[in-house]
Amino acid sequence: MNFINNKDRVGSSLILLAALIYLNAAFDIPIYQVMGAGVFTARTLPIALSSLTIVVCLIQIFLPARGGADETISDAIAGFQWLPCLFLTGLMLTYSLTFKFFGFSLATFLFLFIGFSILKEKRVLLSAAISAGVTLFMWVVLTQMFDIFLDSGNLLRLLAGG
Amino acid sequence: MLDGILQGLSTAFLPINLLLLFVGCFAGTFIGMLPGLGPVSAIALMIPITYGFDPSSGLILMAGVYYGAVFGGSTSAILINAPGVSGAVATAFDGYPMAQRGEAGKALALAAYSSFAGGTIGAVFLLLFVPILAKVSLSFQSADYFALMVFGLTAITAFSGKGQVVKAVLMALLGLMLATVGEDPSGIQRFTFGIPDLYDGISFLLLSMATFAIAEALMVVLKPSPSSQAANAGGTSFQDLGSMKLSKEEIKEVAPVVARSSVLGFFVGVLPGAGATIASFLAYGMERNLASAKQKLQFGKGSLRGLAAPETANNAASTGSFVPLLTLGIPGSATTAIMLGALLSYGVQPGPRLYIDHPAVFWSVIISMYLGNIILLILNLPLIPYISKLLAVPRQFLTPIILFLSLIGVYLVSFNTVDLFMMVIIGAIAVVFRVLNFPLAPLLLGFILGGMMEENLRRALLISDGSLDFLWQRPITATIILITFATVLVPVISSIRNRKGIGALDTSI
Repeated sequence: MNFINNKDRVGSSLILLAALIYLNAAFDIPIYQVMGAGVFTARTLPIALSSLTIVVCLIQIFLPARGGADETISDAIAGFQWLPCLFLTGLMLTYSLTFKFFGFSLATFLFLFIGFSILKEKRVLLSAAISAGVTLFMWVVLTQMFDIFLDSGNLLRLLAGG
Repeated sequence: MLDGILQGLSTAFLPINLLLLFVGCFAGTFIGMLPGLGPVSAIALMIPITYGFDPSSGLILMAGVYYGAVFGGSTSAILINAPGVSGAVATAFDGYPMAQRGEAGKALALAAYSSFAGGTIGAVFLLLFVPILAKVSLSFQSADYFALMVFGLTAITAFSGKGQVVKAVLMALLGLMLATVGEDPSGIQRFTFGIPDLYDGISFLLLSMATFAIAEALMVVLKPSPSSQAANAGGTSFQDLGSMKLSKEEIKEVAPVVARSSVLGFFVGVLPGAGATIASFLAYGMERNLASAKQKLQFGKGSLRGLAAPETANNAASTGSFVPLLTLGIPGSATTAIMLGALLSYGVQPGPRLYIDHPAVFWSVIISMYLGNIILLILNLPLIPYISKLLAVPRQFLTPIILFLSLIGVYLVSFNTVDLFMMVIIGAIAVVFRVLNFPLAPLLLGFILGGMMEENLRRALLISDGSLDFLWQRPITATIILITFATVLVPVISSIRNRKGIGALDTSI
């Protein structure tokens, strides 16, 4: 089986890469000799963990691969709908980046409305009504019931000339 | 002990707590019904709401959600053959055939009665064993705790299934590594790369929401399973569930099954990492082996025994999984790991001292578990025909709402949009690991145990002056370490031997 098509090996390689970066960063942790003087420092556990992880990753990578069809990446991802998933991930990132600018209400309304559209909901009015309803409901619950302050956003302040 | 029980009773029976329990059961049932969203996601979604509550109320709500989600998972397994949780897979074997032959009501009622019986017997065992174990564990020292935490982590990896052991070990290690981000106990910054948002480490809530709620919702979009499509169609196909009554003969038939499965389920649940799924399959297998030749033929075709056994066992196991959490402060499953994180965020440290320092919290949790079972039986069961209609809510509306609730849940705790950004990135990485079939529960468990493990290891090493003698100096530590080695080595060796066999086969071909 092709190395790059094996789930276990690709996954272990990703963790191996993370462990190597982690180990490298572990050597940058400052050590103050007054604290525990070498018995147990802030580096001890990170170095032990990354070393152990590297060993286990190598075992996993160099062991004979299990040959079941379910172990190949190409079979595992057959039929995946990448685009909506990627768009939703992008939408969430945009939501987190624009939350302060748009404020809770507008950002949430847009997030839900666009989210419904990404998942191929074609009834625009229904989507808008549900987005507005959920946003309003959450706003009432959070601000009126739990007394949580939700920023109205920089955009509204700009429009209001504030 | 009696004082503690009375304190717990008075806390659990406060009107607000009863209301929270009801809301929790109802919300949990709904979330648990949705294929892909299990008790872990359901509880994770509740954590931000409970931050303002006192610890008892927060835990009561979460206990209600837990039981509701387990019950909800069984409901979708019976109605549309789409187990909402892995612990309900065995329920679908006989529950769905019953529903297909027009006995959905009876199957749901039997599932509810079995869950109630399993939960009740489990709660009685919990009541008996937890105080004794808590007293024993009061004598534990740092070395014992460190050994126990290592055991907890290895046990969850050992039970992670065929071909998953090494991957589970890696995920647990990754979780432990993530736990070291932020300020260490001596005040030194580690892996923060000068980013102020990382000084306090990665938030437990952020990680659990990202790895479970966000990743699960994205997976449903990425690969719409036949079960989730069935969920979309299911709400309209069960207008009439049929009678919910069981005859005397039927009750007589399942009573011994329920008794056996409760005991088995509870003790399997106590084992760290085993949990409801293994308990339900073991109980199903046990009942099939005990059945007569004639009864055996009924299994898989709508057998009452086949439905009662896993349903009883998974509820008893859910109760049993609280034993290591409440007595040792060590979670045995992803669900109890989330509860541990929630308790820590309330400033309550679970473990043997919980029984002494916070008797109201300790006993109200145990009592509310039992009350949760009663509420599921007397309130949720009659509501099932209506709740099942919620399964018809189209997925294109539900998924963005779940994603929004996850995001806003994390934001409401920190009011920091950087957390949202990090959460989405971690969620996307979690999806990659899910696609590669790497289990995420060990990651969460490693992350939660990481801090405590380091603290106990540090203390033990300082006491023993840097020597590893502490691992075998005390009999209790040595015993736990030996059990740990056995737990991890047996499945690893068998996994390696299997692979070598495959490798030899490959080369011979």
